[in-house]
Amino acid sequence: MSFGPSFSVRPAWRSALQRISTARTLMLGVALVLPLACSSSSPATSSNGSTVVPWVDRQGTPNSLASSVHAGRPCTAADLVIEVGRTGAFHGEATQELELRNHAADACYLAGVPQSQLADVSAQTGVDSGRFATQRVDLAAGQSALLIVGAPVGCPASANPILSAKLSMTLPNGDVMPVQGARINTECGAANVMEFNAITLPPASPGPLSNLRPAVNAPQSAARGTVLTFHVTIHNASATSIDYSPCPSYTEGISNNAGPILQRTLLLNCSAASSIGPGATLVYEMKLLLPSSMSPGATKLFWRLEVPDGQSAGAVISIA
Amino acid sequence: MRRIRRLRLRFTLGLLVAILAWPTTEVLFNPRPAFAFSSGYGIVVARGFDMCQDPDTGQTNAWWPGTPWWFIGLYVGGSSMGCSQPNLSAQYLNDVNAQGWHLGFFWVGPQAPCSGFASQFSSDPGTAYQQGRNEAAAAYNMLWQNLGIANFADHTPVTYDLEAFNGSQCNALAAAQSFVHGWIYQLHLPTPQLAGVYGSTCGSYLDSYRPDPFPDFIWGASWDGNPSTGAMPCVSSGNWIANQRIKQFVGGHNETWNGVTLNIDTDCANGPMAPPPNLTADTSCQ
Repeated sequence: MSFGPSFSVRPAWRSALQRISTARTLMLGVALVLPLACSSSSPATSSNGSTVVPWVDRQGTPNSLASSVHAGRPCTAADLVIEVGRTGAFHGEATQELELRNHAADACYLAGVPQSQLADVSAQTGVDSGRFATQRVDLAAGQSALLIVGAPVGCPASANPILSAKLSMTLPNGDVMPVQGARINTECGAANVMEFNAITLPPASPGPLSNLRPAVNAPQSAARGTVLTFHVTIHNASATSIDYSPCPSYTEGISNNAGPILQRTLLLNCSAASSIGPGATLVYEMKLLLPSSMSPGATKLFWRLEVPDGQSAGAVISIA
Repeated sequence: MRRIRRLRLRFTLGLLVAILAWPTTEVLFNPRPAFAFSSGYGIVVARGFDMCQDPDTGQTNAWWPGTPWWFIGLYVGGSSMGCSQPNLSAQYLNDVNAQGWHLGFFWVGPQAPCSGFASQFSSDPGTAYQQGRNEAAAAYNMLWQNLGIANFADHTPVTYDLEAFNGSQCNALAAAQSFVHGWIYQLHLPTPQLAGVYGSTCGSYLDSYRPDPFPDFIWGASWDGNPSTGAMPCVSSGNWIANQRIKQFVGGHNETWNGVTLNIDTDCANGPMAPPPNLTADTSCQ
């Protein structure tokens, strides 16, 4: 494989810069690690990664998933603001991105994608809603829907774009909303809806535990019928100390292409470490019995904190 | 003697302080994010997906366990990128990678002349070549400066999204060949990246970019439902055969996994993905 092709020379300053950068990173690393290594006094809360919080087998509680919005009323024109986004290329079509934001104080829904007409061209004025005609989208207060309108390109002798900048969008409830500033080229055929869905709204108050960032350190391979021992490094990315109160649960499991193999929810070992300092890192030992009946091959290992907006971590291990 | 030793110690300490305090040019002009996504690649033989707007970390979290997906094609920039990317950041790359995912990076810049897209490169091959180089430089800057990929994104794969076009008008095919060669040339300058090209296997003329320098890998779209990367219409069976193919074999459709529905394209890889290590999870992709 020719992944090392014949290179020309990039300016010398860049190589020199890279060397300086590498040396500087190494020296900074030494300077930062030494004080950290010397400052930890409690083994359970060591932040240098050398002390591992032992695993405990205590049943935990899965975090109830945030229920998705289910609005009780349809969106009206008064609820929505439509913004024209990027023009681009996707799936072989020229695209126009539109964002429909619910600026009302409560949730509303669109029973399907708004029916659009190109308002400033004479021919082929309709926009085909396709499979999105009846795709319901619920929008919480402040939440947006992404709508991508596309039109084919590259037809023979195409060099004279038929451009439309104005759209007339009819909401499922009958309200009509004008849109200006779009770029839709119908020279090679009618426009169509390529995408219509809600953009995830960040949780309003996810809580301090959402600042914990886990990373899995697992062996590259393991044998069926044995206990897999791996480590989860949890880093407190915030500037404040985080108490494990109540003690958080986590879910660990494995799966492969055939689907889930096993999954269990346990409590963190909070008796060994009851808090994590700002910028600190804790390493937890984890154990998982690999069923002897599972198939060999690439297997996903997953681990997630069972807290609102909790982060997750994973790895791939080869099962023999 | 003692004085000399003291002077030497002072000099050493002074040098150390100077080096630590000295802001390198990159810090002065280009403050980089503090998160370091590993550079390089692994050869991945597995299924993955891509979507117009990169999924958020809650969605990628839901789509990891118990699914057949092992990598995600992410759109990272370019004038023709169809969707805005509110999730994309250095932190995002690290969080998604920490979940276990391999990643592919798409750059969607100007498209072929007379193609009807809003942003197009020149029909003049010389100008198109320079434009290809400019796009590669912009993609490189995005990868290491904005997204914080370590070691100057050394050998990180990045794929130019060149949508289908009519090669018989406006000198478009010659211009596209020249543009792609500029893209490859610039990415291969030290510190090099792996240069890929995405497009319709036939409509984007993928097989026509063979004269040196040719793409390190291709990401071909052929929505025939066949996951095999060996089956790419209009691409000669002898080209890009050494773990150098990724295939988008199903176009936009909804799928629901673990309660989360996404509108995705389905891909199969037998080629490079960021970061290391290698992964073989689905031999039907070969």
